[in-house]
Amino acid sequence: MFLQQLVNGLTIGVIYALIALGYTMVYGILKMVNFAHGDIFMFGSFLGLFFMKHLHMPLYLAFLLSAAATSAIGVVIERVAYRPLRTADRIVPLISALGVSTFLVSLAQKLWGTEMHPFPTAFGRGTVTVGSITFSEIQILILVLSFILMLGLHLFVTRTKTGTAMRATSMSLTNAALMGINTNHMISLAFAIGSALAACAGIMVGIYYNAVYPTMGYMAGINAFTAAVLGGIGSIPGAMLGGILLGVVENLGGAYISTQYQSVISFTILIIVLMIRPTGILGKKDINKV
Amino acid sequence: MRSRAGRFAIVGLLILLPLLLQQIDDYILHIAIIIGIYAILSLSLNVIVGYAGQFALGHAAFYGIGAYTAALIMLHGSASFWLALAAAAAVTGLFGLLLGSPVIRLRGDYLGIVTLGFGEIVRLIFVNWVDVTRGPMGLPGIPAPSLFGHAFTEKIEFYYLILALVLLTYFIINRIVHSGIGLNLLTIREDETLAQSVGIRPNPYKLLAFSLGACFAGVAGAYWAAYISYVSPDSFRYLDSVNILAMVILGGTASLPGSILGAILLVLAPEILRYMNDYRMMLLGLAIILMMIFKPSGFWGEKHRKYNFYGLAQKGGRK
Amino acid sequence: MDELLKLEKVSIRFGGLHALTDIDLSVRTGEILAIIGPNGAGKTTLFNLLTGIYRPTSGTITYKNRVINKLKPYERVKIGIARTFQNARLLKNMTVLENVLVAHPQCNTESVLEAIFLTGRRRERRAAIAQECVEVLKAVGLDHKLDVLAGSLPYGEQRLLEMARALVTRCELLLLDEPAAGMNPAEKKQLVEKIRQLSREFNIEIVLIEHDIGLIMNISDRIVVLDHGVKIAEGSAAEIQQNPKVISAYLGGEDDWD
Repeated sequence: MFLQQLVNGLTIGVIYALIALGYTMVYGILKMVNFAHGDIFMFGSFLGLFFMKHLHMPLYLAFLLSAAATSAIGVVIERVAYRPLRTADRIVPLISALGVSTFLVSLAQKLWGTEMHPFPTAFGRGTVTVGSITFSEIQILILVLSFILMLGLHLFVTRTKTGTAMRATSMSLTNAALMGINTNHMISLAFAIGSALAACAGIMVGIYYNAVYPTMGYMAGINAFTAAVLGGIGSIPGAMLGGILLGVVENLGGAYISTQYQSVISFTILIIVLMIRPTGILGKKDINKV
Repeated sequence: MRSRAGRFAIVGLLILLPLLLQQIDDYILHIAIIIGIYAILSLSLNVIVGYAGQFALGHAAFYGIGAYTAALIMLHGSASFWLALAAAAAVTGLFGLLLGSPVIRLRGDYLGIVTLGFGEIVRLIFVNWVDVTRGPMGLPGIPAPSLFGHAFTEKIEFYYLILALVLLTYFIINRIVHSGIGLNLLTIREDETLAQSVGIRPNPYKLLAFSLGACFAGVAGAYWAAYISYVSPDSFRYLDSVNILAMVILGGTASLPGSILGAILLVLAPEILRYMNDYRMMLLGLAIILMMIFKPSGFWGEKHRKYNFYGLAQKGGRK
Repeated sequence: MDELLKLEKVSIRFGGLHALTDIDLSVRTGEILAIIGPNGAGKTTLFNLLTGIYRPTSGTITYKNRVINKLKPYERVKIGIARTFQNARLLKNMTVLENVLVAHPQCNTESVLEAIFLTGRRRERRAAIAQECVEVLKAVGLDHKLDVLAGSLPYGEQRLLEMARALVTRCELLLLDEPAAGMNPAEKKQLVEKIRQLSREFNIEIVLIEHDIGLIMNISDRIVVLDHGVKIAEGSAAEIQQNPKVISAYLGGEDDWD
């Protein structure tokens, strides 16, 4: 029972981690919470559904195309709704993000209706039993694919020149610009990568729960944001750690306390972390310069 | 609403309007009533967002708490509407304080997420606490208000009731934001370090803004419950919070006439553009983005301010 | 002479960075004290310690014989310490009068109920408060611009407005962070006069950070020199000019003194 719940928690945890990476990468550079990120995740899920159901594509192609399309959406959103507001008051881009979120949700409702859509795939319904734990195929896919994606991202930011430039940008936008880094490209890249990861997470969630619907981004977004904060917002390993931790805690809490109020658990965690250690587990404290 | 005479003219017009239009139909009164409810909601949110600068995304939750509180008190306690109204205001004010005290220390975007989460949780409680709220089925049969033994049945009576509540809300909030309290709130919003350096302790002011805003949202909720005579979780979703916030933003943050303008615009627009109803929220989203890019101060923003704090007219003298 | 403010072995670290180390300092009644030093010497950090934005890592800050290490910035304003900022920090979209009103100790003593039921007596009280603010603005020479938005004032007047805002708190100790920055020589000369006059008129002690050596020598009774977070000298203008440590910091320092 416990181990099974642990595995279930881990599954949802890596998904949170994938979404949290998008929050954390954007926050790292722009110091802004992209409120529309949960809805980008939802859009990725719907696009994957669309490619499979209407264009009869195989699953892997749906992943690739949805990730590509969603990252384009992410880049366009930044270009249109956030970039013109970079020098404005902090609250201005937040409100704009809220507008983007509202737009995406209502667009999805217009395109696909408000109801839940099942995911038309036979894949992932089978199970594998190891000892007392039962893995569904989709759980294995989620765990393996998420691991590969996170490893890939980690190697990208630590081993490549572009990745290093991106880290430099997140340390200081001005300094990076002075060193000749095209910071606008780096910001676009952060949105592209974050959105692509969210799209992958969206498809996996769609298959896992066999449900895709326009408002699925709210709670997923809040939970993933909680994960990002828990791990230390702005920190990429932090987002991974936070996501996994949150998924496990939430699932155990849901199993042993109450499933109806599962989201209350993550919300409570968010409040506690923000009160006690707003920099999260792996975040750095920044000195408030006056 | 620059001058005192102008204000009297507008209020007088609003009172006489239904009498002047002999055959005013219920539909128009209904729209006017909805505008009134949203005017209270956006005025109250403006205290939190516009004056205190706290990016709160859960206003529909306070509205809902007010509605449920009033409904439960009237249904189970068979209390009068007036008592329920006061109780709803008090209870939501208290919730504002409860939510406010942990979150006011958070920075803007964090606060947004936490209040958004608060809104979702309140809605979840409405849905899941079936014993009390009857879950998604909601609470029907809420009695109408009555005054001196006369029960409100006509729309026109509800119109005058909401008009009175809007005027009261406007009056109270206007007095508060144009006192030293409002000046301190704006200072905290602009620059918290500066505020501290001139002797302002920020947290009590932010808390005050939270509970004041919540309190009036509760008033709107109590009215809604009595007007529709039914409450259900569907009326208090996240998108309703966004809608109220959009009213504040489009009208102009820290502008009370702006909040009313925002409520009028966003209630009327979908009624006028009925054939575009499917695109309503999409257009709202776009409107918010465009507003932020081209006119972040709103249609009736602070730039129109004519009076100093303390009601001192500009050019020195007293008003 | 009495000591109004006293620092004993005050240090502050940010992570591994020793921003200030073992600073001993006192402000005596009836004097103008200047703090000078190269960029990054820790002058503004010292101000932030005095006003409570930072807390010292070790050491004690005593004000009127009371240890104030832990007092918050707004509490320090209440006991009589006020400041200006390096880059004039004002409510740019509000009027000159409002910028001063906000700092008036009586401005925020109204309760919610008093604000709602605005009685004649409260209105008179408000008018009196506003009048006091106007008086202070008159003292710095801004009373003809009451309704001008603070952001549209020329820079020199913004600095004066900041001073008025600090004075209206009825402070006894006024900390000025580079009050002459960005002023031309004529304005600087006026400023020196203004500071002297305000110090006398309001009977306050003034501590100022300044880059302009000429201005410092002209205005201050005593000078403290900081370099790399350490106090390297203290004394009258004449003494400081002779001090070999100061000369070497001045000539050999990696940063210029402007």
